[in-house]
Amino acid sequence: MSGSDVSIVAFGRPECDDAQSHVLSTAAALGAATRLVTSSEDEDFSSMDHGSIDWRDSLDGAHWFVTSASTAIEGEAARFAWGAGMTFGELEGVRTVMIADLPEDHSRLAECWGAVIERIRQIHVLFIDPAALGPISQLEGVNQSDLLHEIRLRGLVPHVCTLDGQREALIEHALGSVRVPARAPANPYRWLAAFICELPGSGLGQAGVERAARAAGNVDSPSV
Amino acid sequence: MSCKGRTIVEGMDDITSLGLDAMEIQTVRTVQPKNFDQYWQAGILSWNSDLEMNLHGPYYAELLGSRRERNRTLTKMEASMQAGKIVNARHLVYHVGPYGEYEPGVEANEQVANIFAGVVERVHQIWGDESDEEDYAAFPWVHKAKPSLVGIETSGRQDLWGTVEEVIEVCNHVEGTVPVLNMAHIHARGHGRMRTSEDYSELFEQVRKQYGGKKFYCHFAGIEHRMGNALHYTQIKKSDLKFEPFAEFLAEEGDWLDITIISDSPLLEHDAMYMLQHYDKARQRLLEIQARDEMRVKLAIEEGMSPEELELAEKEAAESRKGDGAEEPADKKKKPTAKAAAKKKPGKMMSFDKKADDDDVF
Repeated sequence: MSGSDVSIVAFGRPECDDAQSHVLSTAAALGAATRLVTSSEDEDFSSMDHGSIDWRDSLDGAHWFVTSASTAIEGEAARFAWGAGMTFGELEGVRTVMIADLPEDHSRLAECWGAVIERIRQIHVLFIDPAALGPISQLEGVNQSDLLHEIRLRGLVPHVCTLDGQREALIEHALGSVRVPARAPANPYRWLAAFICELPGSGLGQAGVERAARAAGNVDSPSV
Repeated sequence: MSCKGRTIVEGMDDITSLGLDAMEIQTVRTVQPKNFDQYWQAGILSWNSDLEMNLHGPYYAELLGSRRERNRTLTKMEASMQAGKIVNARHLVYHVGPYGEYEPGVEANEQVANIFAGVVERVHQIWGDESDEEDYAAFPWVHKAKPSLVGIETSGRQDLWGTVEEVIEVCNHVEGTVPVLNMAHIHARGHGRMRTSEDYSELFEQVRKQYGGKKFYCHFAGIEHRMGNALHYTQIKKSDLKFEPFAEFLAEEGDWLDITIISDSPLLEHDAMYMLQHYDKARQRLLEIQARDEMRVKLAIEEGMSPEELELAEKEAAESRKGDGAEEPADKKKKPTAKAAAKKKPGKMMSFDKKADDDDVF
């Protein structure tokens, strides 16, 4: 399976300036079928008509549903849609990729992260933005080096991953840990996009995760 | 059922309209002061209705860890104890966490028992504070209801304290605590042990014998597991932990139980309804069987036989049917016998098939 066989749906801002839109655009450049679910043109994202989204139709046939922690604090309606997307994803067999990023107002990180924890059972890939690693480990009272492993154990999330400062990808998953080089991830979301494009076709178990992570690390940054 | 995504009060509305009657709130780390208004509203609603509120403490604990780790966990637990009073929680559910430097056994259990004795004491302090009398005049459960029970949850991994035996032992030693049977955890830790209604029967019998009582508080969700460790929660339909055997056990043998089952699946409301429907189906099946048996007795009386004589006659008729089949040539027998058996089975309990057939115009 290559990127062109993978279908990704994201929920985010219509301006396409959030983490999930970066992932989506990179995945599209890698050949994935992508779709952004957002508010309609005549409404504000934070007060959108969340009930009008046909999630079943939007998620039909998708492999991944990508969204971010900071979207949860974009407003009540956006948060309802954010939660509904994950629930319908679970129902439809679409796996949720959650990007734990830093909100613009850093003081609201606890709120964002709390929203993620509440939904932890619906998340299949939790990507922690390198910038959020420190603040989240502080919040959790866990050493930064142990954070991924602890979250994996606490939340039973199948894949918890990040990129560290040495340009390595770290993945804690149900069957072990993977640490592989990531060549030139100017933007960590590019690595994540390549990883989720590779993962469905990389095979089972530790070897499969490692293969996907290595392949993602070797992907040249596509022009997006 | 835990309510996620919207407000607690809206969640309570949803639960009531779905015909469910218990809810468990999850506290993440600390309880935000802005949530307290909601909690009071939830408490009032719960007090004025039959909706049972419960509260789950921090999603991970390290009660057997170092002093620092233990204190950090206790600080998080304190917030949930305070919130428990406000929402009129009947149970406060806690994990213990990894064994840490302890080996599984008496020493670890004693340490857990000591900690939970302190937790129960603290819960009673919070609920029994007389200076609250005036402050909380509008919230009658603060004075009238019994303090929350402290639930100790079974764990789903070999490296975490919380086998059924450990939980029961601690609960037996600490008054005010109750075992919380997380079926997904018990299933995972037991390498997939919860498969039939007999497995549930054994489990509840074990708890009844070793702990006593008839009140039970359980969690249920689908789970993926490997080597005795929970890997990932999943919806019930996708798991090898099925709800049907549990429903069957509850319908057939659960009359003595006063049980609360909380859905902690990734699909909370969906799976809560799924469980309710399966329980109703199991009850329905049981009622059908009972009605069938009653009908049998009635018919036996009409025929002038005792139910035992009727049963004997049925057995003889069934054997003679089998005998008739055996006399047929082997090549002829194959298909029709299979069909006949399939047809006969549903009517097996009645020896009056023939009579019915005679009346059958087709």
